[in-house]
Amino acid sequence: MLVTTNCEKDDICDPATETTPMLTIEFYDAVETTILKNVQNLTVQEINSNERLNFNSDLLGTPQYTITANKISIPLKSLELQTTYRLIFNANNDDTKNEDIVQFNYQTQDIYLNRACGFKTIYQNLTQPIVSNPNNDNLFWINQMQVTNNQINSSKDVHVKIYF
Amino acid sequence: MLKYIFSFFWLGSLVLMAQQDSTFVKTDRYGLRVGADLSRLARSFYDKNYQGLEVVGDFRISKKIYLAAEIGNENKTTEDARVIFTTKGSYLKIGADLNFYENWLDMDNQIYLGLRYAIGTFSQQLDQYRIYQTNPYLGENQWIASGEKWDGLTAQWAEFVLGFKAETFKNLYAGFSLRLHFLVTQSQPGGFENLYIPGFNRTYNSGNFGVGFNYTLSYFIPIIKKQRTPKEVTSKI
Repeated sequence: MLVTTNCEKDDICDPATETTPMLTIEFYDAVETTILKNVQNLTVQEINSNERLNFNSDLLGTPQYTITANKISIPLKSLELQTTYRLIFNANNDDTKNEDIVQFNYQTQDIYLNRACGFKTIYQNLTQPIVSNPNNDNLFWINQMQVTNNQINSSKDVHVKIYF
Repeated sequence: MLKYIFSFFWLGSLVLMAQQDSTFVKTDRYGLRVGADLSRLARSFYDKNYQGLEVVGDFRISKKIYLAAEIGNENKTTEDARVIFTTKGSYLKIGADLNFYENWLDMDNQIYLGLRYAIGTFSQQLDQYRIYQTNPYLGENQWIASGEKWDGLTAQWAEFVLGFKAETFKNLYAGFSLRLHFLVTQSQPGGFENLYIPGFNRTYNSGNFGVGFNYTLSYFIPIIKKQRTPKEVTSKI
């Protein structure tokens, strides 16, 4: 009874712990394939979700859901072997925005961390992502996708390259 | 305060009288004391996740030293924020207590410091767990059922004990002890961790220590009565 107090240091998951990794994508120029290129105002939304992925909760309103960068990290499902995202390019401009749908398939393994954090999932055997288009209009903004690391053990690694 | 000074003198004169009256010589009783931990027994009734029993015993071998042992069994389901697991197992603790309380006359009370070496065998079963998501966007925070079980685990540890025992009725003792545990060795379940060890209690990331206590009720079975020599009595005053 003396040992069931719940405010021990051991009970808070240390933020420095490497918990479930995210999928890290780098963006490259479709022509000059070795050159990193910023994707413009990208919005990311899981296919069945009503909410967009928040890239920066310090910002308010729409800006927190769009990102202009050459590298992003997005979470994958641990309880399913597949996660599908809508990747919307130029999301802040109704005239030029372009949506592609990307399906990631993988296997999972759950690994024990400690009492406070519980378990993490690592993802294995990530296969070539399947890119489709919502309107079948063949207006893909993604030119090509390449899996560079099919074992997702750390968000710090790059797992997928998108050429556009 | 005056009252205490008075009773001190009164008791003092009583001992002086004891010197004169041969039928009033102080005796030390030697025997076996056996009992059970009431806290584990009580918890088994009110905590649906706990069943445990600890039998305790000590045997006096000299004026101040008692051989002591505890033997116990526990079956506990721990519901933490991110893991739920069930630990089952038994333990044996053997050591000695050093009584540093001076008893008057026929009393056999104790305030003691003790040492134990403990061995335990147990199993762990991971019942359910949660995945820690760095990013909560996908909203996956469900409990996942596991059922994976590890048998034949063992642990050894040392215990430092501070406790007391008081005779409440004839030959019936109530006791309380606080314990500091230091893990010496343990076999870990592969892919999980000993977060609880029967007899040792909860483990901590920050070190090999643990804490415990028991609240015992014991019965004393007298075997030998030894009279103290009058010289001993005189030296007391």
